[in-house]
Amino acid sequence: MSEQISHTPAAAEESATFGRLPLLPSERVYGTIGAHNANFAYAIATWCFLTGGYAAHLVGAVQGMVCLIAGNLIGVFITTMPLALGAQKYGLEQMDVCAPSFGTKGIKILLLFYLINMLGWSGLILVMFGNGVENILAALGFTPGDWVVGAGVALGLFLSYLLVTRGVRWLNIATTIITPCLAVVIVFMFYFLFKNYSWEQIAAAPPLDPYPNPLKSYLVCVELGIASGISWFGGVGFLARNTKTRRNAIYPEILQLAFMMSVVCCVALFSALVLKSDDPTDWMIPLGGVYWGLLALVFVALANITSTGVSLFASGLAVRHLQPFKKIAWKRLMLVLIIPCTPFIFWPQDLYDLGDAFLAFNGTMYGPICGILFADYIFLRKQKYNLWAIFEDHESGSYYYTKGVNWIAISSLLIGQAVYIFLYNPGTGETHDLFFYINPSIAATLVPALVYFLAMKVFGTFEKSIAAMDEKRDGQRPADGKKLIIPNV
Amino acid sequence: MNEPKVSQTASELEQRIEVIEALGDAELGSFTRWDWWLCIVAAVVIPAILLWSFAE
Repeated sequence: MSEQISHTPAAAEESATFGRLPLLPSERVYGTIGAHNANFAYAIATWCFLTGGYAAHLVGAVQGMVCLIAGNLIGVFITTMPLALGAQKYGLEQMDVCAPSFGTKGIKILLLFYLINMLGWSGLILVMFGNGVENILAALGFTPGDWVVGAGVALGLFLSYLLVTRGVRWLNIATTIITPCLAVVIVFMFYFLFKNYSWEQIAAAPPLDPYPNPLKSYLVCVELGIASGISWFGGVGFLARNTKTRRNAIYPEILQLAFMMSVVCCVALFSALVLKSDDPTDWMIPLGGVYWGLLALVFVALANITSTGVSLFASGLAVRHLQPFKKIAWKRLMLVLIIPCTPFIFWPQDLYDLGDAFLAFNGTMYGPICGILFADYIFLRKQKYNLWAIFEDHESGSYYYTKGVNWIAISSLLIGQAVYIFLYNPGTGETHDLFFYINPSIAATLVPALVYFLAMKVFGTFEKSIAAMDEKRDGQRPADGKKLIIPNV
Repeated sequence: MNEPKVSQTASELEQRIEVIEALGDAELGSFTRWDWWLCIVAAVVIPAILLWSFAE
C-alpha cells in the first residue's frame, strides 16, 4: 500500500502532530541529525542543574559522576526501549502506547502520574527562576526579602502562561533561542569552574548533607540517577514518534537524554560541591564574576520559563485525553494547569527542598509503568500492537478489557509502587535492609513486569487482528464500511 | 466538537491505521538483535559494572 493517503488535508496533519492521530512516516520530521538536535535540546534543560545540585548533597564528585552517568543510562534504557520502539513503529502519542497494556480507558489513570511529573518539575524550575530573580536583585545592590522568591514564581507562571497561550510557534522560537544560550552558559560554567578550581579540589570537596552511612548516600544517589533517567518517560514517546527510523528513535535518546544530560548534571554537581550550595542561581556570580555571572543568571532564568512552557504545553496536550478538557479553550486549560503549581508561590523553599524526594517519586511512578510496557510490548506481544484496538472504545476492542481498564496492569503497577516504598521511602528517606542489595527503581520495574507477564499469560487475552475483534461484534459493525465502532479520538 | 468533524477525524484515523499497519522495516528502519545487544551492553551492563565498582 502506498504510504501517502490520497488527500491528507493540512488540518489532519496538524491534528496528528499536535494530537493523537498516528503519524505517517512522511509527516515525521526527525532524521538522524534532527533527532540528535531535538533530544539534545530536551536534555540540557535547567532540570539538569537541579539533579546535579541534589546529588551534591549525598556524594562527592567522582561517585556523583558515576551515579549520574551510569544511573541515567540505565534509567533511560528502561523507559526508552518499549515506549520509543512502540511510539516510532506506530506513530503513536505515548499515552496511546500504554493502551494495549493498561486499557483504552486505563491510560487515563496514568495521566495523573504524568501530570504530577510535569507540573512538579514546572514548580521546581520556577522556584529556581524565583531564586534567580532574588540573586539578580542582590547582585544589582538591592536587599530583596524572602517574599521575592515567591513573587518570582508567580512572575514565572505568568510569563510561562503568556508563552504557551501564544501557540506552539512562539514556544518553538523561544526554545530555539534559549537552548543554544543555555549551552553557552554550561560551557561558561565548565570553563570558569576549571579555571578557578583544580580537579583535585573538586574531587576532594565533601558532599553537602550526606547520610551518616556513606554506602546509603551512594545508593540513594544511584537511585537519583536512575529515577532521573526514568523520569524521561514524559518526553521519549513524543520524540520517538517524530523519528523516521527505529535507530533514530533509540540511539539519540540514549546518547543525548542519558549521556549528555548526565554531563550537564555533572557540571552542576561539581559547581554545587565547590560552592557549597545546591541552588544553581548561587553558582553563576561566584564562578564568572558579576558581569558574566549576571548575564548567565538571566539566561538561566529565561531558560526556566521556556522549560516550564514546554511542560505546560505537553501537559495541556495530555489532558485532552480527558472528557472535561477535550472542548475547553486552550487559554482556560492553561489556567487550570497552573493552579496545581500555585503552592510553589507560597512555600517555594519548602517544596524546593523536597525536590530529591520528588525525583525518587518519579521512580515509583514510572518504573512500574516501564516494566509493564517492557513485559507487554517486547515479551508478550513481540512488538506487535493491534492499532485498531488502541482507538476502539467499543467493548469488542482487544484493549477494552474490563470497561476499558486492564486491572492486571493497574494491580501490577500498585505492586511495583509498594515494592519501591518498601525498599525506600523517598518522603522520609527510610530504607529497608534489602535496599543495600537491590535498587528500588530496578525492583519496582522488574517485579511488576514479572507479575504482569505471568498474570497476562494465565488470565489475559491476545486477539491480534481486526477480524478477531469482529467476531465479538455480532453484526454491530457500522454499515458504512468503517471498522471502528466507537473511535476514541 | 460537532458530529461531522468527529466523523471526518474518525475516517482520517482509519485511513492512517490502514497505511501504518502495512508498513515494515523498509519504511520504518530496522532494529536488529545486534542493536539490542549494543544497547544492553552500553546502557545496562557497563553502567551496572561501574556502579558496582564505585560502591563503598
